[in-house]
This record gives sequence, structure tokens and C-alpha cells, in this order.
Amino acid sequence: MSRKIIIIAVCCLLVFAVWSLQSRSVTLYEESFEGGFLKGDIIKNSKELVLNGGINGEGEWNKSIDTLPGKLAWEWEGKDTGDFQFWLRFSFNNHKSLYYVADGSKNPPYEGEYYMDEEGRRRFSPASVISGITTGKVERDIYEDYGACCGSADELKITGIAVGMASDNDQNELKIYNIKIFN
Amino acid sequence: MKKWILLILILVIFSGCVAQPKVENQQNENETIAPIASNESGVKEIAIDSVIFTRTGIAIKTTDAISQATVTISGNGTIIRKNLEGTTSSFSHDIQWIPDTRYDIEIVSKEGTISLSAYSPSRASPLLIGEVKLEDITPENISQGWSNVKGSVKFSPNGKIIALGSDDGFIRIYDLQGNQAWEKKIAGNITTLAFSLDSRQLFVGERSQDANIYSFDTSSGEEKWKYGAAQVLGTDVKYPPAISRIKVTDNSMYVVASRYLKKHQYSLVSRIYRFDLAGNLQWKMPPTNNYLLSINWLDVSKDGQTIVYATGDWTNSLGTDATIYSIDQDARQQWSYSIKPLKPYFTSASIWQGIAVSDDSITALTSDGRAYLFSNANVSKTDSYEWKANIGTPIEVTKIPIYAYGDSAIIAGENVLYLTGYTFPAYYPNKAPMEHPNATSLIAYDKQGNFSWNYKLEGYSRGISISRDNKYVALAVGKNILTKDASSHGVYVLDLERKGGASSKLEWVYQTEGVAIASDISPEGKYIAAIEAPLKLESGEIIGEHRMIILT
Repeated sequence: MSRKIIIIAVCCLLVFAVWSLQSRSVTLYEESFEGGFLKGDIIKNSKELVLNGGINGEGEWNKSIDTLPGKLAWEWEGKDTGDFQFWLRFSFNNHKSLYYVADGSKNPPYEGEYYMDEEGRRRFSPASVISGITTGKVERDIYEDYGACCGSADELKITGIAVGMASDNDQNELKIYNIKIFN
Repeated sequence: MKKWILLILILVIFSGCVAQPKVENQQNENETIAPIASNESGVKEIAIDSVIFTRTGIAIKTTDAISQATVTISGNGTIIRKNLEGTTSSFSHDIQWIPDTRYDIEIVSKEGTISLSAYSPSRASPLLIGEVKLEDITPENISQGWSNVKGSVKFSPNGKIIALGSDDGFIRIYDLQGNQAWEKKIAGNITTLAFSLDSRQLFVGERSQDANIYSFDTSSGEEKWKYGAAQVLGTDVKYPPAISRIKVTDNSMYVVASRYLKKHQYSLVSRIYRFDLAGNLQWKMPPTNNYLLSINWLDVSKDGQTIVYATGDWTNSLGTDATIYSIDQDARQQWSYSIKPLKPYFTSASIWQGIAVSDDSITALTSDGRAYLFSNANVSKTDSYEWKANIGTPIEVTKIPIYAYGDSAIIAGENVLYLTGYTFPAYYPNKAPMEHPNATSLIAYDKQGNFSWNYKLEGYSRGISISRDNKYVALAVGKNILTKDASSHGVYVLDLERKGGASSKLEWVYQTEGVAIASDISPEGKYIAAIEAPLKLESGEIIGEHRMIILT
């Protein structure tokens, strides 16, 4: 083996080592649907939320969390068969909220968050809505989405997560799982 | 050499071990994220990344660039088709969408066909479409009651370009994506910007020893003319005169120039000018001598027939009234009305940016918080106003009178809007023990004098901008020197046609980390440009940055 080839091989190995160190993601949060508040027809089924359908089946699940934003991934399944609603909401430490609404889904029945400010006044913070998210496996960047339609993401923390589902077709099983925030 | 190779191999293996995904929260499962789905041939499939319903349309982003695309949006019985030029991954359709309505979207491009549907929400979302980093500046200071960061931003009347003026004398022109067309530097601090109605000239006012008004060609940046207001106003090295307002009509422009001196006591000097658009001085008001009072603002009716302004004493030391003047375009006085000082709290009265005219009405908001509405036809007969409201006038808290500074006023259709500033003690050396209930607020009345709503902004806003159809109001909100709450900084948009109270009218808020110091809305209401400036907190930490953002 010539000296030149060895040097090139060493350089390649070094580049690979650096790339290997940098390319691994760190999971900040992973949702197992333990805890939180569940209402309506949604059921927890081994680390996934499922709406089994049935006429006018609908439900919501929400939970307080505390994590930094980052990249975001989840998987959801279901079809728009008419009266279809499927969304994922993240709430932030500044009363903002960001909805991801599935392709064909009706909108969540909320326009934003009402809260009391430090002076005891009732305030309203409108939510931002990103629609047209295809079902299947989804990857987003919360920093990017927040920066595009909410504002500066500095000092931002995620304080809540919620899922809403509705379907009027008992053959239409809606499910969401593998919700992860990572960087 | 073999030792080196062995060492590198160990390093590679070790790096793989230490870089395993780790859970920083309460979870413990590790999994790397799979790549974006590919089709059977291994070619990446293009899909919709996002659909955002903005105030004036639907913005669509695809996961990868598409070319030669035709986008069709159908909903609510209408079909809109648009051909996209070139290659792009972000585009928008102008459409007045109806809330909670299904819109089907089909994109046919060289790369394939994408179809999906989306329901419009009840409220629009903001969308950042441009960002321009600006030069480093000394940050705003949360502990100071005054502002040391200034800037101006203005859309052209045709809605196609944005002018930006900075306190250090830079004038810049941008397109709607934030691409700079040209840049100029003048000697003074830029205080105000205005376009000619045909968008071909940009007028710039400055604070300097010359107090120049400049005209620039908007396409080339060439200086067409300038006029030094100091030649009749006088000047001073320490207290230079300034142009505080330029208002343009189809054939002329009206300018407010003023200065003050502080030696043993304050003295004030001000004047109104009318120019034609070629820079020829038509008249000065007063014709021979300057006002020895302050003038900060003027407004002109849409038909150009009525010009209103007010003299006063913002120093609260000269013992004078605030006097509102209505004149015609030839400087003939139609009427005047004097507002007495609000005693015992103030010795003088003044009006900051709180004077505005519509075709039939004139409103004034005094700095001490009194709002008036006049009928242009009735004042000369009755010598009185139609109605008056106390908006920010002093209230006593623990025997200390506090008031909300009266900042700006506009008449928008049937709405009369007032913008208030910080809470101040009436008068120094006291300190305000709490916020005035109406401080840093946008307050609406109808033209009959009935209170409509009050939106609490939490931070200081330096002016109201409104779309040509009086539908959308945009406000840049900055620091609050009393609460020091930085979470309220940002750009606020209200829809005046939306039914309900102030919260109902709030369309969206786009937050900025630093203070939002200026904003403007494009005439058709589609775009909003705003300037953010960094802010120094009490801890010494500096948050935010100096930049211009363009939103839709």
C-alpha cells in the first residue's frame, strides 16, 4: 500500500468520523400518550391514539409537556371520507399555538388561546394554522414553521401537545403515533 | 503509519458509540428518522409541504421545486387557475376565501400532479416572505423612557416597492421579496418618508442643521431636488431642526418642519410648507414669520381641499393652548379651534401625531389624552366640536396623577382610531406607580362618539398604518418601560370589518424578539413591512436584531 493511498484513506476516515458525529439526531421528546386528558371517542392503543370511526365519532387528547422545539416527526393514518377532522397542535410558552391540519381535514374548533395577563386582563392569542399536511409519515421543523408564521422562536418552549380527530365513517380508522421532537 | 490507521479506526468506532441518539426528556426509546418517502423508481416524490391561508390569499409550498406548473384552486363555487413561470417551490393565489370552506387544490407540473384539499380557518395566519438584515446599531434600552432607535418604512402607492430610512441616513429601496434596488446615504437622520402618488418619487425628510427635504427618483435613486427648511426656520448645532411630516397629494406636498432650543427655558419654532412635486415652494405658513410654537403633524383630506395641523407646546412650559387649524390648499384659513391646557396637571396643551382629517370630519388627540371630533362644515358656525372623549387623561393613583400619552389618530371609514403611548406622571418629578388603564392601546370610537373597543397593545407603538380600503390596521409594537414585558413585541394586524370586540378584530400577531419600531401596510393590504431593532434588557442581555421583515 503506497503512502499516498494510506493518507487518502485516513482523510476519508476522518471525514466519515466527523460526519458520523454530526449527523445523529438527539431526541428531545417522544410521545407515548401516557397521561394527558382524553375526551370523546379516541382510545389509546399501545403508544398510539386511535379513532375507531362510527357515525359522528370524534375526540381530543391533550397533554402539558415541557421541551425545547426542534425537528418534528409523526405518523398518522386516515382518509377524508366526508366529515373528517385530524390535527396536531403544539402550544408554546408565550400563549401561541401552531396547528398542523391533515389534507382534507376540517379545521379545529379553536381560533387561539384565551389567557389572563399579569394585570388580570383577559387576552387572546390567535393560533397559526398550517393545512394540507399529507397523511403517512411527516417530518417538519418547528423552528422553521414557527419562524414562518408565528415569529421569533428565541426562548421558545413547547408547553402543550394536542390531537383532534373526527370521522363519520366507521370504515375510516384514524390513528397517530411516533410523535417525536428531535434536533 | 499502521498505528495512525488503528487510532483513526478506534476514533470512528468510538464516535458511533457516543453519538447514539439520547432522550433528554422522560422518554427512553431511540430511533433515527427515516428519509422522506420515495416512489418505486427511487425518485423523490414531490408533495405539498404546507398550505397557509393568509389575509388575502392562499400560500402553497411544495417539498421540492416544480416547473411549468398550473395551479387550480376551486372552492365556494369559484375556480381560480394560475400558470407559474419558471421553477419554484413557494407561490400564492390571491383569493378572498370564506372561513370554514373547503378548497380543492390541484398542481399540474412537469414533475407530476399533486391534489389535495384544505379547509379555510376562521382567521388568517401571518407568513414571513422576506427578511433583510440591516446594519449594526446601538440597541434600544428597556430602562430608558425615550427611544434611541429610529427608522421609517413605507410602501409605494402602487404597492410594488418598499422604502426604508434609517436614523444614520441610509435610504434603501427594496422589492417585495426584500431584494435591494438601490441605496443612498444622506448627512442627516431620516425622520420621515413619503412617495408621490405615481410611485416615481420618494420624498425624504431629515434632522440636520439644514433640515433638508429630498426628492429621489425611485427607479434610479437619482436625487431630483432638495430644499433646506433651515434657511427660514433657523438652525442650531446642538438642537438641529427636523422635518417631522410629509404628506403628498396628486399635485403637491405639504411639509412640517420644526426645531426647539433649550437654554434657560425652552423655545419652539415651526412652519408648514407647500411644494409642487418639482420642488418649487408654493407657500409657507405663516407667510412671513415662524410659529413660535411646536407643530408635529398635519393631514390632508383625500380630495386635497382641507389641510389640518395643530400648534402647541410639547415642553409643557410656555403656558399655551393647542390650536387646530383647517386651511385650504391656498393656505386660506377655514377655521381654528383652541384647546386649553388641562389644568391643574398641565400648563400647556399640545398634539403629537394625533390629528387627522377625512372628507367631512377632523379628529384631534391631545398629548394629555383628550380626543375631539369636529365636523368640518360645522366648526365655523358653532365654534365647537361634535364630541369629546377622555382617553388618556389623568387619573389619580395613591395621590399621584398618571396619564396615557396621546400619540396618534386616524379616521378610517366609520371608525375613529386613537393610539396611546406610555403612562407618565402628570407631572414630573413623580414616578407613575402603575400603568394608566388606557396606556399603549388602540382605542376605537364611531363617528357619533360612541366607544367601540379598546385593544391593549402592552408595548409602545409609534403610529397606525391602514390599508386603502380601511379594512386592515397594522401596528409595530415595541418596549414597555413600565412592565418591561418583551413578549408583546411584534407586528399586530387587526381586521376592522370583523364583528365583535377588540380580540375578535385581532387577525394575527407576528412576534419579534427585539422591539418592532416601525411598520407599514401596502395600499391593497396584502403586505406588511416592519423594522425590528435589538433591545438591551436590565440584565445587560441584548435580544433581537436590526432587520426588516416582510409579511403577508
